[in-house]
Amino acid sequence: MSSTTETHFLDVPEHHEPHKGIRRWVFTTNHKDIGTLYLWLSFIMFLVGGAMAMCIRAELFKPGLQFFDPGFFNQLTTLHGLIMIFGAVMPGFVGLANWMLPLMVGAPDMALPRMNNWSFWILPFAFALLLSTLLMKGPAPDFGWTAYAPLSTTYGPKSTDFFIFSVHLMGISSIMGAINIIATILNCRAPSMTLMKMPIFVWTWLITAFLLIAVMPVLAGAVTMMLMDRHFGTSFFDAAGGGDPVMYQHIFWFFGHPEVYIMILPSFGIMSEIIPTFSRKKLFGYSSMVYATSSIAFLSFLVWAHHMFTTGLPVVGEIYFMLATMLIAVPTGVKVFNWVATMFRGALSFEAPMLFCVAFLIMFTMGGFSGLMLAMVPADYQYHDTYFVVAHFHYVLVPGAIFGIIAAVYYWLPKWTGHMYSETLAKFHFWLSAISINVLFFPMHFLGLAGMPRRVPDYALEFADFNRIASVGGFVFGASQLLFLYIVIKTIRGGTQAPAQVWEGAHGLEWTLSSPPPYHSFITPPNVH
Amino acid sequence: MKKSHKTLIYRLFIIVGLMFGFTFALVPIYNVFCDVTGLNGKVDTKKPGKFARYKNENASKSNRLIVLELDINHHQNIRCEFTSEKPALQVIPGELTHTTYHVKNLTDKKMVIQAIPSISPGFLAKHLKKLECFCFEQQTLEPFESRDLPLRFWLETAIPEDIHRMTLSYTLFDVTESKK
Amino acid sequence: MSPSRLSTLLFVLLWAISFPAGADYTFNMTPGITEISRGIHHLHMTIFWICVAIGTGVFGVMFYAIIWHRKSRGVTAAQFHESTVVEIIWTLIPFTILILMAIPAAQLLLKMHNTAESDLSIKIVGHQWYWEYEYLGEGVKIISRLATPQDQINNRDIKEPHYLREVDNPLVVPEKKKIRFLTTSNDVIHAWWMPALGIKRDAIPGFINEAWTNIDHTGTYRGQCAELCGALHGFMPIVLEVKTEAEYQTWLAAKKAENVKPTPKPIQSNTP
Repeated sequence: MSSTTETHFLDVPEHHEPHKGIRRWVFTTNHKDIGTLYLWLSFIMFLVGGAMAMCIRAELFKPGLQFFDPGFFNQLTTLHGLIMIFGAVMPGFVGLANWMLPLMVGAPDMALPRMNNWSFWILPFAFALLLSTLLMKGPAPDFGWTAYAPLSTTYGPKSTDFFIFSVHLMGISSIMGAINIIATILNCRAPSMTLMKMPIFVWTWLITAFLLIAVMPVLAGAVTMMLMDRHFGTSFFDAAGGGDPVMYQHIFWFFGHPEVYIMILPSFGIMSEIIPTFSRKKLFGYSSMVYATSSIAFLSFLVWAHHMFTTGLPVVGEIYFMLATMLIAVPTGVKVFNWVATMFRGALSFEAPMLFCVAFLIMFTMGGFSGLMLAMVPADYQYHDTYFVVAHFHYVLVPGAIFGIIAAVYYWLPKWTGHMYSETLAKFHFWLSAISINVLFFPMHFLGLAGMPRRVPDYALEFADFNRIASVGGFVFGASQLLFLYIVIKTIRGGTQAPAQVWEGAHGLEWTLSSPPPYHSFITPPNVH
Repeated sequence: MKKSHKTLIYRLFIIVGLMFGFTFALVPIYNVFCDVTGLNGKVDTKKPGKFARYKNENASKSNRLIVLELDINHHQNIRCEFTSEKPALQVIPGELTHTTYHVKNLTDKKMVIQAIPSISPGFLAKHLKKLECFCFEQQTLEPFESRDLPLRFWLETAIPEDIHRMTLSYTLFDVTESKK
Repeated sequence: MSPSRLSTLLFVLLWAISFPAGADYTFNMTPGITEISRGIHHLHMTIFWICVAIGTGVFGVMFYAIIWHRKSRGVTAAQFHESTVVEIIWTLIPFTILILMAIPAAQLLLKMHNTAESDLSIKIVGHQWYWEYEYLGEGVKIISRLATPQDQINNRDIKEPHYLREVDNPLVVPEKKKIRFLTTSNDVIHAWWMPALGIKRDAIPGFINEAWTNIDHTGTYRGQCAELCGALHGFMPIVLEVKTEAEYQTWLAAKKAENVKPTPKPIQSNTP
């Protein structure tokens, strides 16, 4: 390696040391600082969205209207969805990518550090904008996170424009983040790290980043059309002007289904890092994992209308979307089988990251099963827009995406902070979360099958019991995440010194650096075997 | 190892731009798709081109009768009387059929209306050919004005054999606001 | 006490607190009252048991590993990490299962879409926030609104058994007739859902959608709007009364006498 290469690696030569105080965070171009910012933003948003979920569960604790009027309830469900998806899950994964990708591919920093700073700092403003609608005169967005026309266009509250602008900002941020990630992975790898030697987390993020740049513009386009319908006299989604409200759903879900995989693929990567470490065995079927992830991403563009079976698609269309959707279960199944095969005949130990991974495996698979059931069009006529769907997507997203992020945080926290977290507290956190989450979401399957629609503030008496159970589970789950906050803060402030090789069975470049790693990760590209 | 980020970033931004454009391109694609598959029972409300002409497909050969229900909807309870001459028509496929709707402005204000057709089952939409329809353009009604609205159409003989009943539905929208 | 022991206790406690005694629960989808809805129920149970079987296999292997292949038992990890044959097998087997599942689903779907030869047509119009039913060709229109008093909703009065699932004018249909439902909307998108019939259809403004049913039993069945349609989305229930043909004709004649002249209602809509 010549010295010119090294200076090229350091894209911002003037910033070798961090600023002091708040300026460090505002002006930072360092991938670790930005990763930290992303992760904190994600956690704050998780608490905000969680607080909304607590309000929802409190209102649904028993039949009758308790605390909120129905209009405000709709605002809560809308903002809960938006905040959790765009505020908690996506920034959480981008934060992990920022922290870990340079460490894992052997680069000193992300490829485009200044853009990195920008893509983060857009987000707080986007969410401030979105949440400010709660304080405005008139309702906040109240049409569900899917924002179906014409409820969001002709009938949308004034604050809808804030929602649209906020979604634009989130989209710009995601696109910039994704471009940065692709550039880092494709251009900044250590020379000896070929594509098929990359850790699976890097692979899944590469694929996710391509999904992001492909579909975030579609969402931007959809909300732009919404804005034009609202203010500029077009009628994309208005039947009176020759448009079609169902077209909004097609465009939205063309974004929306890949979006689902954007929220789960990085988690698949995390599983593929953690399970081998604690099984003390190489990941089973590395290349089939890569192919499975790619085919999931590809198929995700071909199945969008399975969210819209009840809109009255032609029967041929429904059969096609049913088959395509079922097809996705194949590569997903391959991944699950590979993880189980990795564990099989390993030497397992169950530290907190591994516990969260096992819970992920079980509950994500259950969510996958209910997904398969939802794919059957005739049965979907009964499941659609009920609590069965709510149970399904919370089973894949909370133990999927959220547990993935939590597992990753426990896994890499000693590397980031240089301190070991408290294993006992972490185990408490795990058991509390894993049990309460099932108490929270499992009864929702029954509710949906028994006939309770989603997005209702009040319900018939026969749904009362399972709602009460779900609410109790919800409160416990919410409270246990405060324990997580405590554990993380405690670990940042002190604890046993963590060695460079934190976990006995871990492989990968990140473990060759000290804990915490130096401010600029790899000044000279490392060698990969 | 020295690679230019520039080329890569330009390419990625081009993808982003193309996808944004693609979203808008979806609108005409969707309309074509609707015409072909009859998705949603969406019917083209554009005037037929000057070459469009009723082709007598030898109607006498067809001894089928299809019941065409004429359904009417008042969007947002529009204050306009809107009725069809008959609740349903017996239509012979291939034969040019004529019927009349009647509309009356019930307010003391000028009103601009637009009727939007929809067909069920949706896949039959492509078999209904309109020669003349009030849905081709917006209608301006003076206060309390009433008007007869003609509809001339035919059903193609290609219509599937097992179809004996279909619905042509018109929804009347008040578009006075957007006209201003 | 170890975290796992404590958590078991917590689990038991949570269920004990939250499970009230003597209530009647519905766990599963209703088999319904039509051939189609029973078909759906059958499909639902089949795919459910297939999932249970696959799940038992996968989780069985996983728990076997979790119990027996622990480091604390002093095992050493095996070294295998790929096998093309195994990968191909576990790609093909799920694929085959899915194709086999898709066949009955597609057959049922085709049956559901066969709207030919119906005996009567009923148009369902979604409004913010009530349903309107029109018996096409009969000149009969009914408006069906929530009948639950506001006091019960606001917890000022005791809730009656059919709380939130009762209406002033139910939809009345005859049994053993092929009924065609056309759905549309007056404002935003609604969805008409009657679990007992296995029908859920979006009501879309400016468009009509179609579904059909043929009911076996008389009785009263309940459902509600299933697509978020604004503030009172949770308060627009559907009640279906299935009568014998003779009873239905009597009812229809009475209704016809009631509204001789069905004119468009001059009610001003709630403008957005």
